[in-house]
Amino acid sequence: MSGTEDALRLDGVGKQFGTFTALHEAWLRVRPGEFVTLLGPSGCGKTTLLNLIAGFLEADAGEIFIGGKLVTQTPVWERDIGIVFQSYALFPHMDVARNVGYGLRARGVSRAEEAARVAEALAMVRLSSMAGRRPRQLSGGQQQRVALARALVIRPSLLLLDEPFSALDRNLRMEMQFELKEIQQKLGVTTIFVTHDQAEAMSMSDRIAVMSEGRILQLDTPEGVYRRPAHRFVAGFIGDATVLRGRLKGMDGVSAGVEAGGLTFSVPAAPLEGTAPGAEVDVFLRPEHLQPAEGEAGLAGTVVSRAYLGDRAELLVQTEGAGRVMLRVPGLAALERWPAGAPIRMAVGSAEPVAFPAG
Amino acid sequence: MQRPFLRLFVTPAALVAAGFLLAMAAILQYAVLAHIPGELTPGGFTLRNFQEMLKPLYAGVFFDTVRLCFLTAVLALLAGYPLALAMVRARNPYIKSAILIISVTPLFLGEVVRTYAWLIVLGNQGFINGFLLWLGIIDRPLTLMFSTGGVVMGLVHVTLPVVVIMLSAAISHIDRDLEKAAVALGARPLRVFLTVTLPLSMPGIVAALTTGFAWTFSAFATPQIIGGGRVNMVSNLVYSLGFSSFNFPFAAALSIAGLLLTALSLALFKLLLRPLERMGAK
Ligand SMILES: Nc1ncnc2c1ncn2[C@@H]1O[C@H](COP(=O)(O)OP(=O)(O)O)[C@@H](O)[C@H]1O
Ligand SMILES: [Mg+2]
Repeated sequence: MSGTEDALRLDGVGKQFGTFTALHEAWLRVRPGEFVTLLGPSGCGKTTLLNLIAGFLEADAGEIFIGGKLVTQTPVWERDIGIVFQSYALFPHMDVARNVGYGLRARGVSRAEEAARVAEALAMVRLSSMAGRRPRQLSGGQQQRVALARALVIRPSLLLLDEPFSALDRNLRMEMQFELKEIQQKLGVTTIFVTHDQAEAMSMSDRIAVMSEGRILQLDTPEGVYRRPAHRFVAGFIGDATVLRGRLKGMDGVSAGVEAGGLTFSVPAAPLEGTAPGAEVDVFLRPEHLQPAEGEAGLAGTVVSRAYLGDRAELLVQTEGAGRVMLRVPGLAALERWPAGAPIRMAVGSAEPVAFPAG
Repeated sequence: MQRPFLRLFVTPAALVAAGFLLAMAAILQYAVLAHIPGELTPGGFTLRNFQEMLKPLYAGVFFDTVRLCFLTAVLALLAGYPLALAMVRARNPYIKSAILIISVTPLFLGEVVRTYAWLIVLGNQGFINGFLLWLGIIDRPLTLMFSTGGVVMGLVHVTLPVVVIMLSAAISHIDRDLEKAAVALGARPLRVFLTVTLPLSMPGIVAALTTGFAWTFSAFATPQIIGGGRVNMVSNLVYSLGFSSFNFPFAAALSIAGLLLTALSLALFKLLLRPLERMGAK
């Protein structure tokens, strides 16, 4: 395999269930060692896509390459993948060591090598002392780590994870996210991670494929999908955005001027290409796109609710005639000046929002 | 609020149970009374009925019964497991229903009807012999009727529905993700079956074997009709002694012994199969 080969390549892979198209032609190239997340709401086709890559489903269209090798017709057991399921799927009738060694035995690895590699894998997930336990004697987080060790011990060319942490509580989930990322970077294993949690996707991924209704809408870095969403669905799904209806004032090649709620925002021009000046547009505002204004200038509104987050607070504000918006303010100031019901004035913040033609 | 209702609902079952208990008590009582030849009413207290049972003629029937039950349970398991697996795993709902109907409807036909059907299949002019003769594989009809083989075939047919139901319940509880995990780890389908599906079916297999065994022990019409007096099980012995010889006390003693033997065999079964059951323990 040459160094420039894609670790995973999907060429127009599609899947139908009866007349329902679960996945429209998906095109995707993943570099060796990359961590790519499939992100989207429930039912958008993430699991379908993962099952196609794994070989649990047969593609109706397109070709799949793993490590440069065509595997579209290859059975699952020959695809050399490691999978972690949301349900952990640990074999209840085997102890932890036998669970982790399963893939090695299937590959006919010698007993001595199996023992050594299982021990190494268990050490990696800090579970060496649990080798003799049955899965049901472990906590959820420990079971998840056993599942990870079992998937990685075979040194797969591709690691697939389907919402692996969604059954864990918040703190444990964060811990597991860090741990997975650390292990993934250390081993350099190419990883496809599925989640519907955008914060999880943002914190772990090299690149994110945002999916909706069976399509990959955008494939970009976390910063890219956050700051330069290519699609109004992406803009609405990533981050907490509120939509403000406005009007296009004018644009040059790079940026456009949009007037909304009495404020003038500068937005990227690309999404508005072909829109005539004066046409209605939707501005996607995140809390950092607005800031409190002093005096009588800016957009006026009333605080509806306040989420105090320590160093900062997020205010939900009912504007006069422009719907609701969110803005981020320093935590202390929020406590002193903006309880629910307080009047507030807002100006354009330092970060640049995006706008799409009104839909 | 709940109690009066509960009492009301439990009453019919309790009455039936009481009826059974009384019947059992009556049988127990008969079993220790002497039989007076030519009389329907028994004589005084005796344990002779139980001594009588140890004679090779009768002990042999007990031995044969256990052997037949065991053979039937094992064969029903071998035939039933693939059926149950196919039924649970079939994706097409029509195939699922077809397997369910084929394997379970015999349960609703009753033992007698099913057994007469076997007469047509197994008899000298029956389907099997007719077919084999026509093919020229044999030149004389095989003795399928009145043979142990024929009886076992009939018994397996009678037992199969229960075994399939028990196995499919157990198999449907196996998490499909476990098999997917195994395949993804590089195991071929046969290895997945042997290392995941089969061990995890063990509790169901043990339950099916045990139930199949107990179920067969109570068979009557099948050995009576297909066995034609040449293949006897405990129930046939009870029948011929009670209703041909009118030796009610001995028939009662045989019934009690049969019941005890069933309980004993099941306990032994449970003990012997424990390692198997553990295999699938979670
Ligand atoms: N085997 C199937 N038969 C029919 N429809 C299916 C099947 N599997 C998934 N679907 C449908 O395909 C869509 C995508 O499903 P899935 O890939 O599981 O979504 P996600 O994992 O993003 O929640 C859903 O609408 C789901 O109902
Ligand atoms: Mg899913």
